[in-house]
Amino acid sequence: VTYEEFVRRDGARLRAGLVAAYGPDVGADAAAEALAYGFEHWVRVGGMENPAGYLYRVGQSEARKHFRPTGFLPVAPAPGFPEFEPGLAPAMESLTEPQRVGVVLVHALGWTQREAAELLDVDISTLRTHIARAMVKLRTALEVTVDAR
Amino acid sequence: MPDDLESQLQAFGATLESQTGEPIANGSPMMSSSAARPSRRWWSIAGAAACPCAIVIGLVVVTGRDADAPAARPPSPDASVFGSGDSSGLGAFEPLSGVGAVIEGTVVGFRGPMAVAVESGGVDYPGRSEDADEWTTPFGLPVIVLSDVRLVASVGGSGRADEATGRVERALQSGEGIEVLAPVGVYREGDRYELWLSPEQDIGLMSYLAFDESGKTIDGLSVSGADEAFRRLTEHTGEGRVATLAAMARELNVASDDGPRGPLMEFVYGPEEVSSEENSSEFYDGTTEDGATREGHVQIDVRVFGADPSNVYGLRGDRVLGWFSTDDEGRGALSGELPLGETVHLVVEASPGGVIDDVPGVPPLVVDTEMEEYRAVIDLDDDLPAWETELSLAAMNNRMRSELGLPPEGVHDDPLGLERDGWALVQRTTHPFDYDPDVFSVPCPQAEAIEAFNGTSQVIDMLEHPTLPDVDVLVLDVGSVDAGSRLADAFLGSGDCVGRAAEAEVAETALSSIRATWFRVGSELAIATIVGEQGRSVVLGLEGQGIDDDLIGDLAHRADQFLRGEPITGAGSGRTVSETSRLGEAQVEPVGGQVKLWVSNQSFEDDTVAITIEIDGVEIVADTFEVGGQHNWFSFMIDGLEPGEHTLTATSDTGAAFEGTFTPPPGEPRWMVVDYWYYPDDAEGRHFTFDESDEPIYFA
Repeated sequence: VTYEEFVRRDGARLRAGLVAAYGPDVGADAAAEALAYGFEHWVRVGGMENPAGYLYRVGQSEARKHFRPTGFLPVAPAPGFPEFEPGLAPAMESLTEPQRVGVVLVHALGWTQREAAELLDVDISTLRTHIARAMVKLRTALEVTVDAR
Repeated sequence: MPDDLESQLQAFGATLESQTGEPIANGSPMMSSSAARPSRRWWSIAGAAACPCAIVIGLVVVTGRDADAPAARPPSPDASVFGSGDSSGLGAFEPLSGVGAVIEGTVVGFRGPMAVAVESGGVDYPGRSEDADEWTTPFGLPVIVLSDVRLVASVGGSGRADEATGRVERALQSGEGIEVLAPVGVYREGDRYELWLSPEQDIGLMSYLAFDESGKTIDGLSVSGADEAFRRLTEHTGEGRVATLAAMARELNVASDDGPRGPLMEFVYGPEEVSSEENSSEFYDGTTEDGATREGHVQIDVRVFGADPSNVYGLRGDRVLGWFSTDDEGRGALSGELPLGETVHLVVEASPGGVIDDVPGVPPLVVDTEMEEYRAVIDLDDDLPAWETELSLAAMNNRMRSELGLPPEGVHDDPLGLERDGWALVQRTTHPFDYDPDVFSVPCPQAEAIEAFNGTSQVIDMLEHPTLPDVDVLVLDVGSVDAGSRLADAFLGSGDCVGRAAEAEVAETALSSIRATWFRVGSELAIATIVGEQGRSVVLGLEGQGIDDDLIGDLAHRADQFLRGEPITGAGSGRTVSETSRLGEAQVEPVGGQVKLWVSNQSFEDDTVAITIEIDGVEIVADTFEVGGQHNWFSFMIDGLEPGEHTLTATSDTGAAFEGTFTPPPGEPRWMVVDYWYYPDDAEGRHFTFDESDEPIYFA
């Protein structure tokens, strides 16, 4: 896989994971740094079993320099976008990082569980556990009892 | 406002993506990151222009697509198993999506650093600074300077496409000329260049297509099948290249705004029978939140070998359920969830935009199994396809291993042809030590290990080991060869000799490594035999082999301690610490006021790191950690911590240090993670990360 193919295939997913973890500002910057690192070292990174997972770790390192623990997720919908509860963002921020990344990737952004698990470099069963716990916490925080099927 | 959590999360995701400013949702069109370094292909423009003899005279650069555009087909969920997949489903036409304006002009120069041709292909850019403060152009990249520009076509079809046109029109009206950072497409027409622009032209840096003067894509700079796909579409329309591709771009833009497929898209991709969302929800996202398969459904996993890498494959029941492409070896995979009793066909789309049809010779797959997961392998290597269905997980794995040329799981052959006394010698490993004779006076010879199995037991010969020559380590009837295989860790790592000034120090490191390894393996063996063979010595093979008596005694003592269920390492202050397990083994979770500490080396750059962890100045962990596959996590159970705040410190022999505090609630269990992390260019250097949780922490 060339670097260009990798970015084309996995760039959005990598960005999604870091944005879910650290918010749109820090997360997007971290993804940019991780991709830049991947470009510079593609000969080595491209040969890894899971380049996306590795660069996700690189992005984590970059993000943690600038990450603030609260207030990093949008609390209100962007103009013209569907509404969501104002308590959703704080509830998301209270989740552990893998829980938040899992639930955002799969339930908010539509990635498959397998794709999310690969990015986090965990088994899919582990990811499902994270997501299940996250959903329980979110339901409790938002007092939501209705789930769409 | 929706009252269900799922809808709220989807709304949240939409806002999150809009604030990110780049696609992050699955199905959003893939666009290049603004931070991704410039594609070497993009620089070929500059390189070609700087060198009149260059054969590259035109090039299409993908700069991204409308952020709202859904994929034309559901992305392959598992294409990455064996290789790259076309996640957008748009194939050769993907670069056109998002195009807004087509201009024509004369290239009068470039601003910014120039490219240098690289003999092996592509170009390099030595003049580009890594320091953003020194950039004189966006991202420090060359800008194409144009004159005598005219607008050739306004593609339209979306607001963002119109935005691109608007930019061009305003620039033309101002009379100030136009400079382009990353055009979507470039064709050369004599001395004139035709540029295809998207609104993201100033940030997109990826390239996939290049065209020579005749419009033919250039190998290595093109999307597979683009020549044929473009030619077919142009023949279909009977119009010229610009009119045809602009019309296609418009249809893609319309579709990206949730509009219907136009006639050209239908010609290329076929009629849109169902929306991609419906496909996705049925096939890719069918599991329930807790991971269980829905009632009346079954998980399926289909692997295909010997396929044509230039084709796209899918499964079709009443409708197309999903697509996947293969790696260069023709291997691909697709997995998901289907209703029990569904009949699906393997279908192929011969080249992007081609006809979709059943793969000849492959029977329909009837998912009527009672198995937990329906697994099938289809081999298209020969003219007569072969298939196996309802495979067990082990059978599936072994089928894949066979395809990859690996021996079946759990079966050790004799690859070295060195069978000896009934032992199959399965691995000969040489451990070269990194030794600089100009710096260090003590030579570090290479060590060689031979591992052998006879089905239930394992032997490792340490040959030419700097410290332990001619020692056989024998594990008898361990019940788990895999556990024994970790004995290989006993050898010095490749970097252990670096910086060592005396042989004694090397020996000490070797003994420490063996001590740590035996400690772990001994624990595992104790677990494996705890029911039937209490008190068994797990260091039998070391006795009488010239190994340090204290080491043997210590290991045997630790193993015995473990067998009796006693804590192994005292931490003082009334607290105890025991290494409970490594990741992948049955886990014991803390209760009451116990703390479970996970420790791991996550750095591929430092594949072996000695880590010491102290709590309140009392050593808790002092061991050597291998990165392995980044899944080498070891847990330590800490008991007897006093209530109140504690200070945890972690140090490594590579210079990383961490200090943090934690306050476990009295009587409640805690979980903590310390991992070591470093990669080159990491401004933070070698460091630890520390996390604390009030619930179990899961890894792979």
